[in-house]
Formats: sequence, structure tokens, C-alpha cells
Amino acid sequence: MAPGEGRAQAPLPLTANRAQSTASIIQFWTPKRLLEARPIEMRPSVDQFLSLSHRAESQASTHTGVGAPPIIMGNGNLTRQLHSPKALGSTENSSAKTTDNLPPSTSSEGAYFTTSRVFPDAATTTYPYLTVGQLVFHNPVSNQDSYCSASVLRPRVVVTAGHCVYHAGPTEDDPSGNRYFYSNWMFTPAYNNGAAPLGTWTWQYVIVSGYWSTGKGTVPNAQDIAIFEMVDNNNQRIGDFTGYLGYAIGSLSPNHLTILGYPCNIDSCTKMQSTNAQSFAGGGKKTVIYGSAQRGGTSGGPWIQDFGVAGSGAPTGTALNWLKSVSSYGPIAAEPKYQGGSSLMGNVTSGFLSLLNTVCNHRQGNC
Amino acid sequence: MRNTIMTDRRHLNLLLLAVMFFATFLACDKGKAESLTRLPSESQKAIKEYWTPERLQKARPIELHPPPDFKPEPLAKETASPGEVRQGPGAPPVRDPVHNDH
Repeated sequence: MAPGEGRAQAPLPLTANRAQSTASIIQFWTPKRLLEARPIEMRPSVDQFLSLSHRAESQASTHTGVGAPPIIMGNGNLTRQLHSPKALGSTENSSAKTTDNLPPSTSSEGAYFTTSRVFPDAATTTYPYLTVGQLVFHNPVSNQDSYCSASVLRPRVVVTAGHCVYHAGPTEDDPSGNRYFYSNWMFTPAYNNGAAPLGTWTWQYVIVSGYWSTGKGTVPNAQDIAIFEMVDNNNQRIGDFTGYLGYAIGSLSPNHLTILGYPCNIDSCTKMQSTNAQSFAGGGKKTVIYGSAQRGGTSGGPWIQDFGVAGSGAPTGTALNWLKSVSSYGPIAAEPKYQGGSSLMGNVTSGFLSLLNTVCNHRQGNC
Repeated sequence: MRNTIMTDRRHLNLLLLAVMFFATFLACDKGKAESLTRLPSESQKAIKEYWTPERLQKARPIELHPPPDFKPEPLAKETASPGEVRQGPGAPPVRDPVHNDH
């Protein structure tokens, strides 16, 4: 029996050659025709639709704080060049094992994702990307300076990971395991390879979750979160320039999120990277794992649900930019590629919401 | 009679001591999850001056890893497409799109 015989024949492809000239096609599309054209919309039959086996997962998420775009347009003369641009590259050896069929950057052991540079550069200075930036800090014991990522959560409030704020256990820099705060935090929203389009912002109050501060510096951690109150620049709050994210408690899985940060394995920690992925696995201690190619440097970067700007007529609730977590941990090995983050806790002792309420109440106008 | 009173007092003292230990234990246990706060000891100017271009360039990323025996717990099984081969990568425009010479 010849190959394919006795089976249903595959439908043949159709081809067409263009009958019109390029000029006539361009002339056909008059402004009037372009404006009056209608969308083609394909819908399954009712039976087809009902046969789909999607399970409706309950979304127990509580949306408790909406985000907002900036109220001050422009940079307020805050723009600075922090250092000369770095050569772009990876700070890591690329010895990653790859699967046979898939490029190594798009999937890892079933944790599908897309990680890419936020592009074009101008996008990073547009809300909601504008809320994300690089956080630098100093370890007063080891004398080491370090990078993390962070985002603007309320007009004078910035959120990051607890481990970017507090030394809670032995680390490479300080194996002693002593507990102490780091120092000299400086946040650069929309940082772009040495450029600070909205200047740099320092802190005046910080709170770190007790889950992190007493967790001996290990991950997974149930609430690897810290929240800053920032110093105003020229009597203007940071969020007035950047806008700020919303936040939503719980429901980190199942979900589909945008993860932003400044990982050092890509573009030498100098350019904002974006990962789009859905929840892949549980990490334990109320953490969830998403596929991602972002590694060290992205710690503290925001995990955002409904990211972006809603088009006119988009379904209600689209693009409201809910913060759902921040980057907490990742693998030692090159594979699998993933990031873990803590599910934001509500108003319980040392939960995200109680930290935020403390910072909001610390000074009028913070939130 | 006096011995009985002394014994009762001793019991009372022991009881008070136990209550105090329990209260201390409760306070310590609660303290475990208490968040910590900090106010800056450096001025804003000092922080900004600290971050020289050299320091910013030499800073290193923080990276946390779970223990070696860490095993993620799958949330749901996905149907893989083993035959999928990705070919034909995209490319940015070779000409400036705003200067179209049509």
C-alpha cells in the first residue's frame, strides 16, 4: 500500500497570482475605503464551543488598588547620564543545554515563555513601562554594591524584593548570616544603559516583611517583599512623573503575567527586559514559578497582570496593570529557565498589604 | 499551717513564672513574622554622591537560588507538540520605515 493510501486525503493548498498592478492596488485603497472597511470575525458553532474542555478556574483575586498614569508629562529637567553606556552582552557563560526542537530562549521543560528586550527604547519611557526601573544598593558589611529591579506602586511608594533590602542569612558576599539592612538605595525609573530619563530617586523609609527578615535568607520565601517611601525631587513625587501600578492580592496561579526587570544575563543589566508567561509550577511556601530567561538583576522586578494600555472598547478590566508579585528566585543551572515569586498576602501581619498600609500611613500623600 | 501557706506561695510563684514564660514565648513567636522598618542615616545628597559612575558600573546582581533538592510541583499537564520545529526567524526592517519611497 502506498503511503497515504486508505487515509483521508489532506486538502490541497490553493494559490493565486496577482492580477492587479501594485499601483492599482494602492489606488484601490482610498481613504474612504480604508475607513469603511469592516473586520472579519470567525466564530465557532455553539456545539464546537461547548465541546471545548476549558475549565473555568475560580479567580479569587481581590483587586484592591488601581494604578494610574503619570500626571506630569515630561522629565522636569531630571534627566541625567549616570555612566557611559556599557557594551551589551551577557554576564554569564552560555552553556545552556537546548531541546532538540525549540530555541533555548522560548521554552524550558514545558515552562513556555517569551523573554525579550522592551523595544523600542522609547517604550521604556512610556507608562506603564515607565514605572519600572533599576535599584542599586550597598552592603555595608561586605562593601559590595548590587543591582536589583523595582517598580512604582503608589505616588511616593516603590516595591521590590525583601532580599534587595535586608540581609537575612548567609550570602556569597557575607557568609556570616548576620541580619542587617543594606543601605544607599537609589532607584532609576526607566533606566536605559546609563541614562536616567527621569533622574534618580532616593529613599526615606523602608519596610521589609518579617517572613523575609526571619527566613534565614532562604528561598522559596512566603513573602519576599519590601516597600520604600521615596524622597521627592523638586517637591514632586516619583509617581507624578512615572504613574504607578495597581496591585491585587492572591491568585498568582493560574494566571498569565508580564514580568519586567533588568537581568544581567541579558544586555549586561542595562536594558529593561519583558517576559510573558503563564503559571507553570508551584514552588512551595506560597510561591509560584513562571518560565523566564531573566536571571540575576531582575530580583524585585514586578509581575504584572493585565499589563499595558487598554484600547478603546477593550473588555472592562483590561490593562489595569495589577502587581501580582515580584521576582524572588531562579535556578542555579541554566536549565530549566524559570523565576519564582511570592503570592502577595492580604492584611495579615507582615503580608504585602499590611506593609503597604504602613508605608501609606507613614506620610500624607504617599498613596 | 505556715508550711501550707509557703507551699501555696511557691505554687503561685511557679504559676506566675510559667505565665511569664508563656507570654514571652507568644511575643517571640509573633515577633517572628513582624516586619522591620528603617529610616536613612545618610542624606539624599550623600546617597547620590555615593553612586559614582564607577560604582554603578561595578555593582553586581543579586541572585537567589532554591536548595539543590528543590522540586517544583506541576500545576497542570500540558500537551506538548514534539514535532514542532521553529524555522524562519524574523528580522528588523533593512530600510527606515518612515522614509518609504513608494
